[in-house]
Amino acid sequence: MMSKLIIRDLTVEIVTPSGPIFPVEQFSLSVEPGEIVGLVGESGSGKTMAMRAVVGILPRSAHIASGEILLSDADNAFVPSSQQSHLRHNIAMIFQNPTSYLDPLMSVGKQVAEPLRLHQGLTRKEARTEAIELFRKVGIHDAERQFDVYPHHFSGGMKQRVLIAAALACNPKVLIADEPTTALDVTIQKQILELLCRLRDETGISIIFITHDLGVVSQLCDTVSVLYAARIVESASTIELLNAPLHPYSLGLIRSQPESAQRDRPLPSIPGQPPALNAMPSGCRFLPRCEFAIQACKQPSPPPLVQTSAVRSNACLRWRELQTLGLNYD
Amino acid sequence: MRAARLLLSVGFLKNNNLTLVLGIFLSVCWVVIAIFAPWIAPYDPIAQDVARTLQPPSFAHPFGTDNFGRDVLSRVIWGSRVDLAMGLGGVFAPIIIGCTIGLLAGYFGGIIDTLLMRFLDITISFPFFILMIAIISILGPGLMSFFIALALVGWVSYARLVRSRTLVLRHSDFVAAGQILGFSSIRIMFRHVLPNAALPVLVFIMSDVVLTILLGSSLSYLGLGVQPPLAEWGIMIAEGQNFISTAWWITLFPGLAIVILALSFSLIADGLAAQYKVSE
Repeated sequence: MMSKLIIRDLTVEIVTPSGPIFPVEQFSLSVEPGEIVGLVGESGSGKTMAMRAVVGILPRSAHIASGEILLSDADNAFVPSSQQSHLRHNIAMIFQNPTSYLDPLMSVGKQVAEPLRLHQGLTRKEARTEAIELFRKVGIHDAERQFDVYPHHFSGGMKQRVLIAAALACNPKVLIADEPTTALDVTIQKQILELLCRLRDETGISIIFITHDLGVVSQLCDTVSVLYAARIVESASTIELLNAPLHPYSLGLIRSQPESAQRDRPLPSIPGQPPALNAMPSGCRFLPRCEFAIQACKQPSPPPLVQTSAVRSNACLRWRELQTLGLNYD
Repeated sequence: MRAARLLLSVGFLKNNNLTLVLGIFLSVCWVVIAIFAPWIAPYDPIAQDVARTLQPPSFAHPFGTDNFGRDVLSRVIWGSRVDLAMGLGGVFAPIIIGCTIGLLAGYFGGIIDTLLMRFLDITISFPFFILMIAIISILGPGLMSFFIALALVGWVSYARLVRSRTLVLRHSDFVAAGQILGFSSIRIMFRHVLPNAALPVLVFIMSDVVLTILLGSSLSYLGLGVQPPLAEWGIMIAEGQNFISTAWWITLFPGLAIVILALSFSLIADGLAAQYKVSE
């Protein structure tokens, strides 16, 4: 029942009057069955756009320019992305602001029962029972009574649980969670994260977790990919990346975490701003903000993501030198 | 109907919305009168009594009698059946056609939107009343022709209303969520977009019922709608106007009936708009 998801060289293009821009470039990601993969990056780095491309809800102005999305089926054979329905039935997505993703005029129970009736062909009654079961699974108390309640009666955390239940109704192989806890307070955030972990353990679902909170990543994710200006700059296991980042941007992100800062010093930050999509610098995109930049970084095209070990890849030309420096180079 | 259930569950009485309550009360009264017309009306509406023509209002005939000796009160009561049927039945086809076209145009956009909206432009480029008269003249006068003509020209307002709401809603997050869950476009349009676009439509339906009743009685007045001797308020006014200086009651009471019925639906429309802050 488990599936592996492979995204290969995904590029998303938006055609604007002043020429095409690329919010996602050569995005590659592989998700093992039952794995939780973190996707980290600043706002506008293309995390959400890449995932929207995967589930097929890009804005009308954007389209996939190249690349492929492959999901293995029951026989472990890969089904190409041209079969959109296969992807759609097996990849579900939850979002940052659950409020706006629920139909305000339909009871929460019906919104979970609807995909059940549609995809599993259940009758109204069966779907109701099944939906109540899903409600229990995602930790909604008094599920039977809550079935007929409308979304505006629910708190943010409860709505997020409803969305997770609706996502699970399709029996997906992969769940994409787009900052599902950013809009929630810390205690609820913890509950939702625990819920996702539990679901992974119980059902073997793979999860792609989009966030900009490295603290959450360290608790939850098995591997992490760091995005900067539409490109993946580093992919590694969570432990390796957090302890020994091999890209200056990952390093900067980790050092600017309040938890890792020293008490008597100002919080370190990465100087400057990420480049705009329509004004990308040539060469490495992190170059204007990078303290390790050398002449070679100014090559015409951005440095490609290279495999540095069996499970790591990196897009910095100087990763070997960073490796010898380690985190405590200053 | 989810919209109706929402209306009831929110409880319009709580907010002291007098306009809405009064409108609903008056409309319900008319519906009751129409349903129970055979028992309420004191006389047969088309029975002529040559001995009692043009009698002023009295205890025997509270609204007087007309030039054929028919009881005006009974004719007004029976007329409510025809006029309510015209108003409520007349908006039915336009709602269905208009909502569907508006949904399709707004949801899919692009070439579908352009084609449907140009078709709409062509329809509204003709003056509404003239177009109605033209269609009915071709089909021949009668209630059925009236409904068909309305179906052909009445949908445009609904289409515009629904399209503009759909344009906004199709970008909303719950539509995207439905797409991820693998719902078909038809399902998203009718189950998720339409209910969320329904409120302004509901308000407009109430105004449209009024307009349709007025249109129906105007056409009957012109001889293109319901045919005599059937009791209909527009016909009664048309027949009574020859005697307006001597027997004012023949025209006054059906005229009042039209005003009150129109008012009751207008009040509902206003009340609904105020209740849910819909801007027209």
